[in-house]
Amino acid sequence: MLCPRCGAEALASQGFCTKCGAAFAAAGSAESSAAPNSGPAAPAASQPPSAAPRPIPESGLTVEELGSWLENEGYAVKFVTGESGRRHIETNCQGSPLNIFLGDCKGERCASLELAAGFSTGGKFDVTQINGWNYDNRWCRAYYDNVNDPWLRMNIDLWPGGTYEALSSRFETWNRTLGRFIDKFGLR
Amino acid sequence: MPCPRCSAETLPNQEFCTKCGAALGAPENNQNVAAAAPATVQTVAERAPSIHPIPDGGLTMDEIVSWLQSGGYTAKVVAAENGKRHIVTNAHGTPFDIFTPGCESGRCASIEIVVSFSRKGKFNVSLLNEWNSDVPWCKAYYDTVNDPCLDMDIALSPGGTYESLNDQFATWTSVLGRFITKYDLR
Repeated sequence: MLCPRCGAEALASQGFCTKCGAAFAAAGSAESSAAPNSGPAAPAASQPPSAAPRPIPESGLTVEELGSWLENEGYAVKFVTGESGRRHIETNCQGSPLNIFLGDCKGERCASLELAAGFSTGGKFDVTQINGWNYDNRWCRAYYDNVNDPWLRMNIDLWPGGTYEALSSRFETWNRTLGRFIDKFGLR
Repeated sequence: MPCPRCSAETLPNQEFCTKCGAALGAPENNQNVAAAAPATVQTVAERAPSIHPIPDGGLTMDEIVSWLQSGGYTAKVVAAENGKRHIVTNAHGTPFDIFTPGCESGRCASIEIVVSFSRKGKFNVSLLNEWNSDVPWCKAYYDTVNDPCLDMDIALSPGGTYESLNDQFATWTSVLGRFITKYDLR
């Protein structure tokens, strides 16, 4: 058989295309038996991407590349060196300071990001609300620190397989979720 | 050579594993050339890895099932009382759910992975704040009967790729294992 996505030759027993990684439908899958009119699923064949996404470089981004990307997105960028000597970025989002840490680094290139926003409330935050937030809201995790101040964090995978389109989309998700967090808990 | 993810036999000219879809390692010469050259825009472009995009709008339920099964996971589609379908699979001997909220025309731009552990009121819910403070990638919470839950969202579109999906799912299974071990949830 041919891969429905890239046209490469494939064996019926293959689960994935050796050339492009497209998944082939498994015969007799639970889903297929539940939906008898569904034919073999070829994930990437029936609706190919309209434009090829732009890949993030091998092993991820450097802190400078991340800073350039943020500036292109319209964010202020300040490079900060922590006590450990590692650099991270401070920016602003929804009117609040935001720290962006790079993780899974090999040399200068880093395969993931962690976004973190904390809010000083002078002990006035009701920490019993945090679990409800985590129960109800997607994408970010919330917690309170050792002085009961609330924090919101999110991780973004950059590599392998990361694209600038996905990075922009995740950053928009962060932006929206942070705005809801601030509004819900009166953190402005 | 064996696949680094599932250990299936592969051929040198294969870019992806036929069994689990794992990328079989880009040639190292790209990285070496780039490392030796000044970090310019040009070299970054040259170092861009090949990627295999997920279709616009994300994956269908069928495609997610197929992807899971090809990776060696069981995948059972379950319909809730409201008629909405999700997938039940398992890792570390623990069943968990994969939901597909916000689908349009059958294609889902993200998945939400959720596991819940029945502890019959014996779980100390005060432990979970520390988890959320210290452990990246997944959020933990307790439900209405104080059972601990772990939850991770993965975006599929726009800009999603199978390489990223595989990588993030591997992260989920790794973090799930840590969660089970830390709170003795076997």
